[in-house]
Amino acid sequence: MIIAEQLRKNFGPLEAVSGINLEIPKGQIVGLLGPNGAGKSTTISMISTLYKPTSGKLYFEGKDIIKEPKWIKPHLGYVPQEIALYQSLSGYENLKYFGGLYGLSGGELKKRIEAVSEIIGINERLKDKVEHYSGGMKRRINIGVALLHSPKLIIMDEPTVGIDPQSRNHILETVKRLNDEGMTVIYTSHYMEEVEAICQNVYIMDHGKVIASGTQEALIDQSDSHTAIHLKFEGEVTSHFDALKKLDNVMAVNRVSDNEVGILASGNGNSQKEIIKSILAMDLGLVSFDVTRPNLEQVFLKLTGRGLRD
Amino acid sequence: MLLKLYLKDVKVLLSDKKGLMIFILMPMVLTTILSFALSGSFGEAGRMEPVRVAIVKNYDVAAEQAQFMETASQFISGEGAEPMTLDESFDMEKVFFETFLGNDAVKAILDPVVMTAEEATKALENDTLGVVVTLPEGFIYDQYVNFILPNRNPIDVQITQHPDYGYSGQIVESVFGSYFDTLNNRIISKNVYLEVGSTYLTSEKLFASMQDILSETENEPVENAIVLKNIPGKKVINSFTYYAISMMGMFILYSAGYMGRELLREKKMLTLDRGVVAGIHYGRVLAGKYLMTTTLCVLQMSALIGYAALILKVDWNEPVKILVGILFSSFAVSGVGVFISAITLTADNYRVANVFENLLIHVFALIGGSYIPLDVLPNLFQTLKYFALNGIVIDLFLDTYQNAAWDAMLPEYGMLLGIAIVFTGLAALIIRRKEVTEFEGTITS
Ligand SMILES: Nc1ncnc2c1ncn2[C@@H]1O[C@H](COP(=O)(O)OP(=O)(O)O)[C@@H](O)[C@H]1O
Ligand SMILES: [Mg+2]
Repeated sequence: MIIAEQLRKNFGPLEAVSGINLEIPKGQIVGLLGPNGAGKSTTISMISTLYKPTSGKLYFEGKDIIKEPKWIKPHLGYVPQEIALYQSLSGYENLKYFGGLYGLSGGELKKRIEAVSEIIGINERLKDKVEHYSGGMKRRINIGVALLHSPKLIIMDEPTVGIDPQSRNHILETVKRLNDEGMTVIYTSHYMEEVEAICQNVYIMDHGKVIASGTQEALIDQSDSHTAIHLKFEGEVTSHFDALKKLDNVMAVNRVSDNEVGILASGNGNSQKEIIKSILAMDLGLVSFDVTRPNLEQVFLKLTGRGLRD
Repeated sequence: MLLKLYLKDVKVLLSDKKGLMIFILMPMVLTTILSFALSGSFGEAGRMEPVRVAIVKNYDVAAEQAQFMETASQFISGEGAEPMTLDESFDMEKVFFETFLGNDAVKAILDPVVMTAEEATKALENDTLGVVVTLPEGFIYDQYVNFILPNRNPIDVQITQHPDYGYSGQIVESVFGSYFDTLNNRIISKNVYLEVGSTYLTSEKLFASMQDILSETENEPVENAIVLKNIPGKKVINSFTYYAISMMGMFILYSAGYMGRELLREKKMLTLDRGVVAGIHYGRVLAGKYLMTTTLCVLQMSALIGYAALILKVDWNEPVKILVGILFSSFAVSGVGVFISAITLTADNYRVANVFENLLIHVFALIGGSYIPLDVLPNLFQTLKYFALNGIVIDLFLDTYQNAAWDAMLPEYGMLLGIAIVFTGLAALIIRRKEVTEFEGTITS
């Protein structure tokens, strides 16, 4: 559905996206995973025709949308990274206005608003001002606004930032449901868990580049010779990061919380044992540890030596 | 599509109740307070100020008196009477200037100054004068003739007036008219006296029956034509009127300030991006916001004018001129508003909008006459006010209140329209550039 070739975007001297290739197949949820500043928003802004690429090619259903953005506009639902709504208007008025921008009106618009409010699960409070909604409700309206014109493709830029787990789950389920109904989704996030939960294909981005891509399984298989060790300590351990990094077979150290770290280890089971022993010898007050199969977080850790949220 | 953008903007505007209070209620409150506080230093409501009138003498007193003496002696010659002299009480010029113009009742209405024709024209152009009365050549001679001799010579007094001075033309006309009426009556009685009375009646009897004769007379009065070139009116500006207008001029600037933040606000809220993704161009957004600002401004002005009329008893009669004034002012305000908005959007911060609201509006308020009437300030301020939008608006509405003629207000309409066009044009250019740089990412933020 979307094909990007050597897509590049410079902001003055800064290269925000440096020549990436993407292929978004029809009917899939494709994740764009990467830390803040990786270039995810810039990438989808180009697909949304908000930014003109500095160079490269971009096709929607085979049509060049750099030359003619009009090919994608009517088929695209765009959910910006922040709540892009008129806070002093009601949810209903927002839906009505943005639906109107896509040429919907009258009974058709009304029907679509009803359908969308059912999808996002906001009905009774639609007449309240958006500014009185909870963070989760705002996020849901933010998505709903992009669904009114029944787009073929919906692009979501970190749609779950700053909301409670319940609303987050609701949103993820909504995305899955939309996908089940045939909608193609580009889903941007720096939460590995979300991407893991819903995306079939993943592009991992860092510093404007795609550093890995493929299905989740393929990506994880790449790091199969590695293990993730989750460690919990009595007290604060961030000051010992450097010491931990210096241990043999430790590839990367990732802060989980003040007294929790994740370690990506190379080698087999023996090397893991050695690492644990060394940590015990350091006498940092280790409370517990567990060894897991790597997930996308560890894939990123392995590729960059940093955590997604560092 | 424009309509949708506009309606959305108006809805957003109306949803900001606190903002609206400031826009609509603040000027009412300030107008009321300032009006009462300063009512002492303004003229009395509903009364006329004496109209400044220039008197231009195109006659020569001495020559005309001499000429009359000559004419008169031809009439009276042969009767052997004593030679005629004009005593003090019969000095026609004195009668006109002292008895008539010096009369207290007349002085309350007219404020005459003798000038040459050139001086008068200049004063009229400079706005320092309302009306010029030109007393023609032969004015003195003809009056003597009419008054003393059986002949009647028409006297052509010409009245020229500044178009801004509405009612004054009529006032001056009627005052002068009454002078000549009085004179005519005397002339008629003079004729009766000369033709009939002097021979048969004692002067007392003649005088007693004079009233009857006068009221029944079919004598045509002499056509002492007063040519009036223009007739508008000048009402006294009291403190209520002044502050309603001056606060209106000031507070509409806040509409421009509000608009000044709008584009960047939409950019920051990402609603602008959302619109762009949907296919909306910046120009449309700008147009919608322009109309929204116009609406806000019209609302503000109508509310204050209505309030002043109903509560403060300001008598604006001239609804059409008021309406046109509101529209032109609103267009200009919206132009300035979108201009500030365009700069603010390009700058990517609210500095310009803030400086406008917190500093410039007050500077404009001062030089435009929103705080203190400019008449009490040095002359420089009379010119300076044209650099302040509110100054022009105040000027226009003072004129409108005084029912100035349309063409007298053309400069103000022109300036407001000019501001609207220039600033909107600049805003459109800036916004167009911004749209391109935003799309192409040639500007780093
Ligand atoms: N409009 C812009 N002007 C200048 N720099 C920008 C702009 N948008 C993004 N950037 C820069 O480009 C880089 C990538 O940003 P972004 O695409 O927002 O990353 P992400 O969405 O992955 O967090 C960042 O360094 C950011 O500061
Ligand atoms: Mg982003």
